[in-house]
Amino acid sequence: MGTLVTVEVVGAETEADAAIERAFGWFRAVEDACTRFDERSELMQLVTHVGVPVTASAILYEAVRFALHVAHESGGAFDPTVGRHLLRRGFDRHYKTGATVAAVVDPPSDVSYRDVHVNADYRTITLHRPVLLDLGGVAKGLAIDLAARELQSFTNFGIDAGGDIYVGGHNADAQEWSVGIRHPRTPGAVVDAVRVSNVAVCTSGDYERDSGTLADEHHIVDPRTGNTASSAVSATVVAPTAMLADALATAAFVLGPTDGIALLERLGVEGLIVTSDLQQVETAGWPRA
Amino acid sequence: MSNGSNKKVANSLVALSSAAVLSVYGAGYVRTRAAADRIDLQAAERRSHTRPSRREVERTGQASASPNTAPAAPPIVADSNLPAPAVAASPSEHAATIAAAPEHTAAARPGAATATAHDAPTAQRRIDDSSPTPQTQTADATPPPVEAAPAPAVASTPPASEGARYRDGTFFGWGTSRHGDIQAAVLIEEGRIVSATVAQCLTRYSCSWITPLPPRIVRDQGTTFDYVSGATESSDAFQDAVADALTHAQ
Repeated sequence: MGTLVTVEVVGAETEADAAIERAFGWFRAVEDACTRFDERSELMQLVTHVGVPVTASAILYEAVRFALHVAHESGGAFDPTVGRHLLRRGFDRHYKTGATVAAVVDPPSDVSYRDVHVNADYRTITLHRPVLLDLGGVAKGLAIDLAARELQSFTNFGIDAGGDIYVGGHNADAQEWSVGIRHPRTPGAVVDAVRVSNVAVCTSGDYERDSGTLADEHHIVDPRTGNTASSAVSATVVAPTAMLADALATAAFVLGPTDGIALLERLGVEGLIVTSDLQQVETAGWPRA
Repeated sequence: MSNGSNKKVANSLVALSSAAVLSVYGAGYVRTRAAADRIDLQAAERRSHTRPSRREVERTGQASASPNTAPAAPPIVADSNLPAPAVAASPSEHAATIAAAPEHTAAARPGAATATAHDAPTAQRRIDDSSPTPQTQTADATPPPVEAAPAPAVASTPPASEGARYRDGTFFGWGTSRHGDIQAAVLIEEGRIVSATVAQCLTRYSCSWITPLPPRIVRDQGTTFDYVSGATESSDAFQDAVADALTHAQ
């Protein structure tokens, strides 16, 4: 993921060391299973097996299964098979390390999440057609949730993985955590803030990396069209798990301010979208600080 | 569209994500890395101190140059894919971790990678501290050397709690990003931040995108954020630099 991860435990001394170490370990484990940028990863081995059920690790299975559910709920606005578009747009280069991923799969242009099935009884994944799975919208959230589970017994803690946040309990001032939302255009500025506890706050923005291949294109693609999603510049979701917040932030970004907020309201989570003309739209229960 | 069925959908997705996490957590993970695997990681720093909060920082996914990164699961065949239960870290592994991270010391810039939440003492690592010895790494059990106050890695605002005042003067701090380093100069008058500007721009790209008076810092002197969602490293570099500067002003 190439992500800077910060873990904070309030009030704990060295007894939190082992739990923090395990928390970091989950990020590595999820990365190892789910990265598209290493052909030895479990994911990259999966995509070379087309038409057969493949037994998957718990990490890969759950990430794929959840991604498919969000794809279904969002009508394909979130779609883990978006990788085919990302490959064309030059995101086959790991944006931190510069490593390129070999094009091991040549997916047909009309594949979608519907071409991927999972079997809960056998914990298998079946790719009915060649797909390039991109779990970037789910994996980081899963890692955050796993890390949060390691820290649960300490009650008061915070995790920041490259701007995707999970906070538990209270901060060191015995208050709910204050989380600012980065201004999508002015570095160092904050467009809004929430005061929350025991939730994740995840943001998708068009400022995170540029494609390097197509001018003025960021990396969030509408899977239904293959074009850059352009009606929003930033989408933030507050939800009980980071896995959900992470995936829905991407979905809401693609859907834009009207359909995106409607999706979040329907799913019972809170969110804020900054439109391309820098207007803010939020859900009714947005926990503004 | 009934509220009842919407709630059911909402609960089912939340429940599904929670169940997924529990399932993975229960399966555990294989700690495949030896000490040598830490080459691809910029290691966490350990702090022990008497303050109420502590942070660890780690950078994941720097796997390009390392041949040692092993997938968490073997090639796809049968149920041998099931990961082994989680193995607790042993003290010797911790020691190996710290000792194996000298290149992290060299690569680490002050500010961004050192994170303790409040006024805990911490070792400041400077750019020129490139000698591959672990003296700038704080070992697990020993108290850290008191060189300077810490800088929060990602908070957009100073580490002081609400209402704290700063000493007057101009203070400098460093922040780092994958594009290079930024030095901030923070001017404090009558205990309040007046301005925060770029003193040195050592990044690959121009620093002109950095607004010289970040509204958040200057306008809301009494309000701090614990975290900022959506922050990426480029903006963090300047925020880190300001935070680093402010640690000298307390």
